[in-house]
Amino acid sequence: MKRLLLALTALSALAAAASITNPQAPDAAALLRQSDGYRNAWPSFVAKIRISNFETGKEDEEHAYLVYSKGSEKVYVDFQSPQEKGRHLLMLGDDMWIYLPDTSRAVRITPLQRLTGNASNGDVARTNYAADYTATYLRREKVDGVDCHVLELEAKRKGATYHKIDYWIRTDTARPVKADLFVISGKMIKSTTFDQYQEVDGRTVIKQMTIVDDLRKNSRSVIDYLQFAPRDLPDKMFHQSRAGDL
Amino acid sequence: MAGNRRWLVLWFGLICVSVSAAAQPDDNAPIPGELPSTQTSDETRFSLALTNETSLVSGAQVPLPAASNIALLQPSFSYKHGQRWRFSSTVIGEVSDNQQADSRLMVREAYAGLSTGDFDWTAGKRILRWGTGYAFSPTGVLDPPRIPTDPTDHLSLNEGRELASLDWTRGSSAVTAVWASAGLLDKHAPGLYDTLALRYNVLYKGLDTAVIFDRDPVRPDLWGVNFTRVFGDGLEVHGEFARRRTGAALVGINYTHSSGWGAIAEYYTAGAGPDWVPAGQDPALAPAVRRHYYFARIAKSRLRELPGWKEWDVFASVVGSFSDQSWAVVAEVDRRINHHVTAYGRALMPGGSPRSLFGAIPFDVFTSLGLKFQL
Repeated sequence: MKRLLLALTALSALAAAASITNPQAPDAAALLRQSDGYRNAWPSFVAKIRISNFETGKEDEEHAYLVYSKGSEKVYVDFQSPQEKGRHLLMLGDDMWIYLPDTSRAVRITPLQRLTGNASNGDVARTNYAADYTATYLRREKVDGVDCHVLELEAKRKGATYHKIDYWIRTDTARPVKADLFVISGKMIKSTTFDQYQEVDGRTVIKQMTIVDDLRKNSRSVIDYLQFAPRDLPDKMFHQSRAGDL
Repeated sequence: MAGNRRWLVLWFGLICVSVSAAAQPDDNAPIPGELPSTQTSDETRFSLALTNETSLVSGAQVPLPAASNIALLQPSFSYKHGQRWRFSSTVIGEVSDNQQADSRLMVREAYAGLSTGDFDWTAGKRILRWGTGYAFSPTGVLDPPRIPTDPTDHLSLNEGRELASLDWTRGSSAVTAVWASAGLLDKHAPGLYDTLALRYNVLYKGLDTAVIFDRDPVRPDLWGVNFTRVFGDGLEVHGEFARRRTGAALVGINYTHSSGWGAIAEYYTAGAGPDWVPAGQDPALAPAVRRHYYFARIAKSRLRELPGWKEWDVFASVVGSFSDQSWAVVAEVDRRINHHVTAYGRALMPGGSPRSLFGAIPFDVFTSLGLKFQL
């Protein structure tokens, strides 16, 4: 009986100590899932996006894409700009292909490779961070006066675009605010700000985000989410040998 | 003289179109109007490409015009009704004076498709690409013939095969059965036969692989397998192995650096005899011994690192034969003028003994200057 009481006392002390060390440590994984909802609001949807690249403050070029997304594992990107017509990109789990009309075959690519400007393929096609990263809660801090949770995301699968992400999300809504993006060498290569949100079908979703090259600070890419619409998309649209046919 | 004047007018017209397009504010990239259709509505797409290319030959060893011109108009149209019906077509209008002033109309693709559950039916003229090789493809049994000095088909002149196909897709697997004609409407090309072909394609743990069978009335059956696999952040490995009477194999790598530099290297070997002569070439001229080839390409898209050069793409490639020590080098620069217009220059330089594969190409340098307008 004494041993049981001692054990219970020790357990209570440990629990109390833990709560003093980190009094209200939120569930990092739950926060990450919630924040993903601002870029993936429906299980299956289509988004129309525009990426504008700026060099030294002047607009350099623009590209338009239709992004078809189903769950966290299937994304199909249809290139819409005149010079890129006929191109499309497929993400299927950890694998990615680009289909170019002027090459003899589909080309296997990786999420980190450049799509346009500072945007990597993964910045458009891999936006479901909870599927790709393990989240650890770091701290709370203010960004431009906004109270934020800071999460550290570590890649947990081969297909993740970045090795590590430092991620700031609002404490009140879990909306993404900004992210610092690191490659496997530990070098920070880009930073992202989530600038504007919009209401679509009663849901709050991303409207605009900006990607800044950490090495070339005068170079930035702005991604505008022009339209979102939930759609029932067939699975075979995302098959590696069928993509582009449908 | 009249011909030269006509080409000058065409060039002048294209330059006017380009200058006019360049003068438009560049902050309005075309954005599609509405999001794609729901299950029951229609979707129509249209695009147009206009290309004019002038070629100059130097060091010709046979009678060839010192300069020639080709102009291409390539409209594409596709229509989709919900998720079930689709139609797609691309035609090519060509005016050229390569040998003598000539014009022709070609159908690059024109096919209709029907989707029923896991099955997709297609009939018409269509380009299929089953091979994984870049410059060579022994398992690309229905692919347009690869030209190793122009594997990207820079003028988009490749045409599809007249075929009927059935695809079954489920999960990560797909099975395709195709009957392709040697030419129902088109004239028969040498080395092209009525073909029954089957392919099983599956993605397993990152390995995209396909098993291919091909039967035609002239050659022994083909069995082949091909694959691609990605390692790390930029390396792709691909390969193809196929056998008829003799075997053919290809292995290659494609490395892309995040800065935009890319390199491709391939080794290809094909057995003696007519089994591996690409469609369009006369099988009677097949070599009597096994051949070994190499291909290498280095490219940089967007020279962003050089001030004022971010609109430029460059590449250089070399293809050669280990068997007869001949080779051909191709260099190209592309300059994006605006959203609609690209200018390019490319040069082909063959080398080797006059009786070798590439050394037999009858000129020293073939230079092409082109302007492409896309809508």
